[in-house]
Amino acid sequence: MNKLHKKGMIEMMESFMVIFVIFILIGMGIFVYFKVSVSSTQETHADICLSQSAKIMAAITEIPDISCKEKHTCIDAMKLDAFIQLEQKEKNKVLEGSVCPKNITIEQIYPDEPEAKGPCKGLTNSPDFYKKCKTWSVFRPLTTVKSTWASRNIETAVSLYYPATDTYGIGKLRITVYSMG
Amino acid sequence: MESVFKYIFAMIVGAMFILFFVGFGKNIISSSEKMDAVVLVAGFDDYLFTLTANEMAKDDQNFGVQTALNFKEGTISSGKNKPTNTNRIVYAPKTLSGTKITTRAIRWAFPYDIDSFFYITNAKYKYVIVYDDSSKDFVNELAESINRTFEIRTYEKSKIASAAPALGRGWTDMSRVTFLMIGDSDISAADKTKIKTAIPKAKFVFAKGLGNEEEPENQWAYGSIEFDGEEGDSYYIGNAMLLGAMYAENKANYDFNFKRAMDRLAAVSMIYDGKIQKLSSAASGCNYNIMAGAFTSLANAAKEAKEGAMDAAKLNSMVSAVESMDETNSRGLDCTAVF
Repeated sequence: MNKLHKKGMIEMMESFMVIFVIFILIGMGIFVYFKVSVSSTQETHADICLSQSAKIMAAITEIPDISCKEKHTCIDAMKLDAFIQLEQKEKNKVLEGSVCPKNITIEQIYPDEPEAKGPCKGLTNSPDFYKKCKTWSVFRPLTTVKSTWASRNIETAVSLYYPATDTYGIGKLRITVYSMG
Repeated sequence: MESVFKYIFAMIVGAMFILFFVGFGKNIISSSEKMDAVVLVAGFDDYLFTLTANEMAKDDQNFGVQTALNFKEGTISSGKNKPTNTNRIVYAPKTLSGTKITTRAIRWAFPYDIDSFFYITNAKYKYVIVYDDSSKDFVNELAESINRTFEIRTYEKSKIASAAPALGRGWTDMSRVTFLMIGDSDISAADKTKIKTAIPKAKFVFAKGLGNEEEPENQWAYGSIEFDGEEGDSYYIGNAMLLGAMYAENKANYDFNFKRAMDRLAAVSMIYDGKIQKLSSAASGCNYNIMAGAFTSLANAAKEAKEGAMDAAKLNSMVSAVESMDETNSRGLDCTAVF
């Protein structure tokens, strides 16, 4: 009777060991699956952000806050200079995206004003405001960008319109998209 | 006896394994199928932003599986996922269930372009505009201008009750049918009852123009909105907002979006105010002072409308200010137009 009981205990232990090993194997399988899945989700996320940013680039010259409607597909430099004075929360209402942190800037390329350096802050009412600065920061990421985040730049040329002189310049619209790794 | 226990034990463990793998597989399949909806929700503002490039746009999206999108004031969520905030002005039913959604966008101007409004719906929702003699021309023009993008039926007020049974037969499985009455008076209670009998999911909204009746092009430019069964008036400015009344879930959703529109109006007016300051110092011969004051007043009126209650008198004064601003803007020859 005692011998039988001992044999039963050993068989029971064996069964538990086998189940334990199987669970460990399943656990490892799930771990590997989720690792692969997370990495593929991150890639999908980056691709979505990039494709959305390309579309945003195409649409940005049409947003009423900075576009020169009557002139078609250009950016009104005076409105742009006034737009950057708005509070960040007001700008967010126009350009905030939920999952794709991005930085949007417009840099004045032509006319190449010798004194035009540094960021435009929209603080002057002078009609020559664009001769004293070079870059408008249209939108900044809402979260702090970490150095480990991957980023991609997309750039395109845009037409800048100066209403006071009824002339045009050329600007470089740059969107930097960050992937939260 | 021992071997019987072994078999029972093996069966229990086997069943556990099978249940685990079946559940795991089902979860993976359903989560990957709903990925499109999750992606849409997560990047909702960016997605809508891409539709703002044109004055009017339409986008049909097919998720491939049954999906439930929930819209609340300022948020969107899919299924039981955490809601995502949105800054956009969205008119949509509280819950959109189905495999497809259609998003339409129209740019709202007052008098300059302010922002795009978005109308999200699916095939389970139908929209009908009802007109009377006073609004017939306006509704025909409206339908003609939007029906390349929108699919809206129009009916004459006197014929809608008799047309309802035929409509009802074709719309038996609809989640909701919204009737927007544009005219001097609402659809009568008797006709509403007849329509409700034929179309149980019918909902009624009444829009009345407050513009000058002697100028047909202005009569319906702005006005009041009444949601059937809800107390108090709401207001609209322009066709984009009028359509919003038809696509909104209820008065609360509509009023929320009205306040958002006023907020954007204030922000864009301040941008023009900034522009006019620069223009003033550039062109000494042009008197931009009157307009500068108008932008500030409009921005203040819009802020007030956003923060407090709106009424017909406030709306009238805003519209008058905008009309005079519009006239002043066309200053002609040597002075640059502000917008």
